[in-house]
Amino acid sequence: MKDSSAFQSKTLEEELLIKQSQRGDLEAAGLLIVRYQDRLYNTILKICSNPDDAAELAQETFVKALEKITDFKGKSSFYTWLFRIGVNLTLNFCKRRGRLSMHSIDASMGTEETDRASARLAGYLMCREKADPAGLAQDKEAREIVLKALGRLEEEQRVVLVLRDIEGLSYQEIAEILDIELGTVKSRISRARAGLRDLLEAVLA
Amino acid sequence: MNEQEREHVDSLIHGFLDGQLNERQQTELKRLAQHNPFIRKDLHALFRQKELLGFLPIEKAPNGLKEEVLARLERRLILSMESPRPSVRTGRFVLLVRWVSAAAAMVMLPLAILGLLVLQIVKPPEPKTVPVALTAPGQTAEPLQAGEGTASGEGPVLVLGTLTFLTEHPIPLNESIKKAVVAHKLLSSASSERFEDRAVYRIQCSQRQMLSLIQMLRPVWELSSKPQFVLAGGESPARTVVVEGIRPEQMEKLIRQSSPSRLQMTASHLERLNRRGLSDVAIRVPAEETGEGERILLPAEPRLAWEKEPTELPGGMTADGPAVVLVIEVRSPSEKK
Repeated sequence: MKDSSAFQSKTLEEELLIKQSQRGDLEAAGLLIVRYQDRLYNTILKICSNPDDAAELAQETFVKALEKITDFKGKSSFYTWLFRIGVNLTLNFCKRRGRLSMHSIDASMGTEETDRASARLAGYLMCREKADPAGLAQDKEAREIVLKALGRLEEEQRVVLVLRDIEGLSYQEIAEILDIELGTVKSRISRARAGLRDLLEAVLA
Repeated sequence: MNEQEREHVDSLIHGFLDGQLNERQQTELKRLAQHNPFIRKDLHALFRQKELLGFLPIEKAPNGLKEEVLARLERRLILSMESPRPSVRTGRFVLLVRWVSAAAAMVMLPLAILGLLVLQIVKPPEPKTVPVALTAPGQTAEPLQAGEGTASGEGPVLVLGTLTFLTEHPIPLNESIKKAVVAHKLLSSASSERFEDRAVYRIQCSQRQMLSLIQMLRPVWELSSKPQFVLAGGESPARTVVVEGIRPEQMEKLIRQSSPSRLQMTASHLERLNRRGLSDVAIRVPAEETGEGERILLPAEPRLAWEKEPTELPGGMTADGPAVVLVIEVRSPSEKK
């Protein structure tokens, strides 16, 4: 009950901020930016794998969104609408840039720390040993291996995996953001998970 | 397991990971996993992989992102206001028109320059004329400066200045001004311009007519919160006088002035008077001391040292008096600068 009322109040507050931004209130626009900047930046970073590009793309996303905020009619959530702009900008950027300049996953291997992280990761993912996923995700080397594998996935698979498994969006929201059918979302997610698993197994074997 | 069965199992596994399975599908997957170690292994591995991705830390956006976005928005807004959108009509016809226009300009421009040069050479020199200001009788004319102008072919006119009404009732105020102009038959010598935020009237008439017009406009003062009179300083901004809260009788006093210097001086006097407030400068003499009721004494008006003649045209003057120009501006409070 308390959660529900907090959610309603947050939604009302967001509606108010959107309306004020539509009237040209830059202060309200600033509050909307603060509300979503971390999630948007994080998502873009996971897709494009470069912090500088991600910062630039996040800025461009907000600028575009706020310039066109009068077009936002509330048919979807503001978050979905914003992410639609951000993800499309990022995908276009990736296409222009050409193939992602991902390093070989093996390139950074060889140090004692990465070997240890690699072993822990393999033990965890291949269900050979009990492990703490939260602790593993905090491990810099293990995280690097996962993110680099993610970066080697095809763009369309990487995007759905980021939106679903990292960002936690529903199939419907992903379909709206990418403007694709629900069935396509499901099949892409299946392929993306399997693809990532193959990549990680190949590295960690 | 054939490909179709594999796809079905995959869809069950991913549906399970995403919480999309109904009860029947969950039972089916459970049964399959119990009997097939490969399916069990797949399910477990993908479950762990998803769990790990979900635990990846959220990267914080760089500092100053908000400020940068807002700055970019402002820049784009300014640029979009400054540069109109280029025309998208770039068809053959448009290109031809542009080419012809450019060619015509190339021919016409030198011709125009040549014509001007010839005109400068051929034109007889004009005698230099200095417009003179209105002066009181018996005084020498002085060159026009601030507050002066000339009406083409009608001799010198005294440009009084700009009377601004800041009002929340622009419609009745504008109507009153128009009525006054019509009533004084000044349609031919008055002009008006309407802007989005204000209406500007330029009225040229004799001093007497202007006095009568202001008298007719007295009720208008009630509609305005801050009537203001500005006497422009011409090329010397320091000479600009702004009389805040000008009253109708003060306006009439200004209209009665016979020369630009008097106008300037009187306006400055009124500016000081209104700035300090009547209660600050007036001296009240009680009724028992005057024997004829309470009296309010105001500071003496300034007077030019060489002035011997009356500096103000008499209220009961018989002639129409010289021509004067007054600009009246009606603004709404939000647009007042």
